[in-house]
Amino acid sequence: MNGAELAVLSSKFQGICQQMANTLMRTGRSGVLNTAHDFSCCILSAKNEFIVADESLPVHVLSGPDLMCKSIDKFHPVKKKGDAFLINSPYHGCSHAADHTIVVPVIDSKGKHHFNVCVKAHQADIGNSKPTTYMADVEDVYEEGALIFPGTKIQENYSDIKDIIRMCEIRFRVPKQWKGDYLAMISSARIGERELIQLGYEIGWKKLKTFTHKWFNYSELRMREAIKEMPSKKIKISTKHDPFPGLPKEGLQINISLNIDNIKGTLTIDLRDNPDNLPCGLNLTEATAKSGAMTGIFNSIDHTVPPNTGSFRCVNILLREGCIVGIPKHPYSCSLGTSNICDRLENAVVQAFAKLGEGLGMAECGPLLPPATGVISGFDERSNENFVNEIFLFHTGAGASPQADGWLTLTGMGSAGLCLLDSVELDELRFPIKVYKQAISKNSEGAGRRRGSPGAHVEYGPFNSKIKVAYASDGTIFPASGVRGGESASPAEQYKIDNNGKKINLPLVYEVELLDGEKIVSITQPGGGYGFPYDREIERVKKDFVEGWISNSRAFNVYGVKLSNNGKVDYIKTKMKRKLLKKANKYEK
Amino acid sequence: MRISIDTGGTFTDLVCEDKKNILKIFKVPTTPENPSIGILNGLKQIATSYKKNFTDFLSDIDTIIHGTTHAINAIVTNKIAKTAFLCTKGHPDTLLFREGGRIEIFNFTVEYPDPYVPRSLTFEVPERTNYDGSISENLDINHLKKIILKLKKLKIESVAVCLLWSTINPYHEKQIGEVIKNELPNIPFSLSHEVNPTLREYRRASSTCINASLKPIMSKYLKKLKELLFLNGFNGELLMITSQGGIKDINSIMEFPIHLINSGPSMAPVAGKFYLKKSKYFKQGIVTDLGGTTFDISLIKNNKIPRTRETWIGEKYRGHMTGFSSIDIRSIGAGGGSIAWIDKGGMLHVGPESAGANPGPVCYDKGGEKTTVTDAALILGILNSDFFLGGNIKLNKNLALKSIKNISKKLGMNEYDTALSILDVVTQNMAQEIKSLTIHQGINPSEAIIIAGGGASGINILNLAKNLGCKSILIPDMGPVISASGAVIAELTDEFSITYPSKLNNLDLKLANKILKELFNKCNKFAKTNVKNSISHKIDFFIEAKLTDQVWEIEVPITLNKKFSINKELIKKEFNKKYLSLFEVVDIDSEIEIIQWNAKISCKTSRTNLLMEREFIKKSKFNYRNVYIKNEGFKKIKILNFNQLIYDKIYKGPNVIETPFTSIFIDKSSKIKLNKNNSLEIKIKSNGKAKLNEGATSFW
Repeated sequence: MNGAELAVLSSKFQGICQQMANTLMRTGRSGVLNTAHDFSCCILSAKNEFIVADESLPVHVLSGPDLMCKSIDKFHPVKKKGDAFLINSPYHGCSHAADHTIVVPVIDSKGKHHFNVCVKAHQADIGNSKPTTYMADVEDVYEEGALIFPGTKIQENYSDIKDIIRMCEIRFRVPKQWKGDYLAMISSARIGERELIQLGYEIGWKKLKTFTHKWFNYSELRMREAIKEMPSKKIKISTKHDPFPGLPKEGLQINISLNIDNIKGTLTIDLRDNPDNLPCGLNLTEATAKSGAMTGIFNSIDHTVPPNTGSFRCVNILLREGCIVGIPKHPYSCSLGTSNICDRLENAVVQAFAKLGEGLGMAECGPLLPPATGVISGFDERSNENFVNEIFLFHTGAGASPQADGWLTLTGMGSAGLCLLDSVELDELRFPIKVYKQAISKNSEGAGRRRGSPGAHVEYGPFNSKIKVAYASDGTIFPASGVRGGESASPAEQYKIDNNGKKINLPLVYEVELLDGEKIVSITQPGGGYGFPYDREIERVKKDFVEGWISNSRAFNVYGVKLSNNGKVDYIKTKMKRKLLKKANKYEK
Repeated sequence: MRISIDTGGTFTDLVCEDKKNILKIFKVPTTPENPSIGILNGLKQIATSYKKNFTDFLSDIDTIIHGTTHAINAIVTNKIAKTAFLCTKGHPDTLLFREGGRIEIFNFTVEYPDPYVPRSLTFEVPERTNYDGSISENLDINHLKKIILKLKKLKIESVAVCLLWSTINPYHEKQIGEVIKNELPNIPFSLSHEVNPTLREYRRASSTCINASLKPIMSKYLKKLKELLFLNGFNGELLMITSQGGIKDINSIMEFPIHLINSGPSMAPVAGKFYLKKSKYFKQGIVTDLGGTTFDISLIKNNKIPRTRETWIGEKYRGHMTGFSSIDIRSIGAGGGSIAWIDKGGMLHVGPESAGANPGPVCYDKGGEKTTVTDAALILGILNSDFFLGGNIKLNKNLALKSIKNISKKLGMNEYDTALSILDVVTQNMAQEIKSLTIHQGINPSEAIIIAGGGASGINILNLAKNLGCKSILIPDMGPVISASGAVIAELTDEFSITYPSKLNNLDLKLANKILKELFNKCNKFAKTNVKNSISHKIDFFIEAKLTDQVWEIEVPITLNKKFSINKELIKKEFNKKYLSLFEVVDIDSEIEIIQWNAKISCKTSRTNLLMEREFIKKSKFNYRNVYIKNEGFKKIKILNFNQLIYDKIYKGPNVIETPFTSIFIDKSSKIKLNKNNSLEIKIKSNGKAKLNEGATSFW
């Protein structure tokens, strides 16, 4: 098989994943699915090697589908055409219990098993003890309360096993919505199955096998080439998660060590030097510990290297059993296994790469779940109905990369910007709320040669009603860090303004009640900067000032650019100031 | 006499329909600096071909229908007016945030896009209207006047106003409009509730700002063109092609130039629909238009042209949304000029880099050094070195062969197999994009016929059809100017909408009927005042609606009785029907919520049959040429000239059909015939695995 056939077949596999994703997006019911894009589709070989995914959440697919398929193999060594399996167990390869996953083995008419297709989607409700899929403040999986499937057959001969469906319907809070999303997942997986069988029929199964073999070799070669461009070095780095309930009072420190061998073209990430599992919902799963590290890696290297089992051959991720950033021990809870600590892990990895040398890695991105993306609930008098829903107003921005300023609407590194934002008008129509303000915060960005994206001031409250807002806002104590001389972002903040105009500060993890006329303010997390601010091109600093992202004094004091009030550059004063800033910098020395 | 003109990036296409409804087509180079010159050159060429004096010829023309890339070019090259954006206080970053979203998840080398109007030209106006139209903060006129002073100082050339909930209560926007009219009398302005009265502030603001920014430049261009034509004797009607696949009169377009964004390409499916109707056996069509740098695709679904609510200028999530529903056209950077290259891992890629028209493919011998799709087709013998673009350009095969060696060495193949591979890869890229569009619109490509347009279409259309599982291809003789030919038959249209959100069950029937009556009156007024030569007209009503808890509305056509009253049960039925066709499921238990009410008027103004005169050349001798075929090597293949073909005679492959504008290779498993509409019909032999549908079998 040559480079031309490889190109055509890899595009066909990619196309099948796209077709699966399209089906899911179009038919899914819950907002998590059709607005937040919290789902993914991928194809694996019969030996559970990861071949290709569509533009999916990296934390969903880089590792996990392989582990889940292995668990299914263990429980169901004999598979038949028409089978489908449901799995969400955090102890058997799933990312967290809310990510229901359907795995369908692709078996030809002679009964030979060639591929597995895997569809994963975050559910609106999974029967937890409280009406949320994010349970931070719980002792264990029992208190979390999710119904756990370790790899359970849910379809046989292309029909549902009704016992399982009934168990779900009686347990989940919005059974109709769950059933709708389940059907969307099944049809997505079946479309993948149908298309692969068609392809095997057209091209020949043998040739498809040769393709996967060559595809992995090609990807391995691309990865090795990418690693060989980096220096051989061992880097140790740590980052901190804010002190949420269940975490140490001084915050949770996450340590990673990155080792690059540019002769062999391999890299190792060691996550074993981290605390044991803690009695809270923040523990990572094996899938998210691996995927988190892998997301950091793929964000740091040539973005055209395809992520799959082939390129993973060059990567070694070391995990420890019973570790909060590792393989969880039953019954520790992993309810927030895809967001908070995972987010910090991904960010630590890109920072480690940045330490390797100029032009590598990234600065830290804003961490997650401020009130701007809170779960709001209450009673809507207009429709005479209760409502519970997550809103997605502007939230967290990206850290800078060596090439570009932070992407403004990243919405967390793990979601990679795929999550869409709500329209203010649509939110005001759907819920009895009013959005008073949504604008970027001046001077909030992590300054740098490339700057982080700024945070925003988001202000909303009930309109002719009262509401509750639940959130879990990281980055208030430990904001996103800068790298290579880039500065940290300004911290997140959340407070309430009561009807007397008084400002009342709110805790990091909270459910706040707002009366009619009261407002909640969410100062969302910006991203960190990359490189020294005084190395930023004068034209870029000028543009940031003219566009109102930074003030005149910040342009001068931090970036060393002297600007008049109408944006005219004083080049002499700029040169002098920049010299001084450079001299004063300890890091540079 | 009617003339349609499609000004593209490289060529200006013209179609002339004479009094007997016979058509002629012309192609002249576009003059990008001043596109009017290219148009005038084209018109002169037509006058000459009719052996007429230019002024006499122009005075004989009743209608000119014009499509242009001038508006989109102005945006891409940043030649738009200096525009200010006025918004509700507290919400200055609507254009910056957009609606979120990102592509290429691991690619952090791309900068976040700038807002369409810079923040420095965005001004927050103290005022607030609520979701129900009530006002919680009155417009602060004094503050507004201070802003106006700033606009004067900044020498603003156009103003866009988009306030929250102006679709429900436009009072504040109207007030601002009055102030601007008085204080800035010579500055054009656009109000969001007039430009695009749709829910979702980003889409509405984006429409309004794009519209405002285009007003000065497009008014100037259109006024000048009109003057130029009138000075030379033209006395008829000048109409413009819109992104919605209709035509509008020039005065209305000057007020709303945003409708010119996709002016031109939107006509390809209009022509496609016309041909599809004639073929009788298919209800679904895939319309392709392969040019030098891009490959445009659109669809016809059940004899209708599907639309999309999301049209982007530039890449999705990296550009700007127009905010309008328009014809769903996809465009990828794959054309005759797309360049082939090998990556570090040894994999072959084609595009998105293109050699364009300058230097063009290697074989043009204008300095191009990188092998393109056109070069590959020439090497294989599909193209004729002496008969490219009707013999206008001579191609150099040796240069193409020399350049391809760089690629063939790395792939370890000979030059000819490499050329085949290049076509395979570009075909796969095209097929992938078509699949993505057909899935999105709920069409099975194997049940559709391909209607191929564009000068480069013949290169790989057969393999493309096979890749998609299509059984039939139609190549109209007007294919090379498919958009201009669509314009000849397009209808004069306009659309009106009113936002009135309500659950279907709680719908105030009296109010709803009043809204529909108002829409109906607007449509009739349009027909009376704007359309001179209407043959017939029709008004379609539709709603934007969704199920409770969903966030994305769908467009649903609704039927009214003669008294213009609606029937809730009927709306429910129509909604479910549309929902089923899009999503393959129905949800009868969930409640339906209507957001917006729309009406579209279409006036038919042409009776043409899209027929050109064909010069039949009776010739029994055929030329032969060596063509390289997969797994077979070089074979001597018969060349059929388009003008030699006998109507309805079936020619079995392998052969190459040469028309003045394209050349098509037919393999041995396919058949071709010329039908009486001067279209080539290609029938591909089924591989026996898939069941043929009835339409495809009775196509012959």
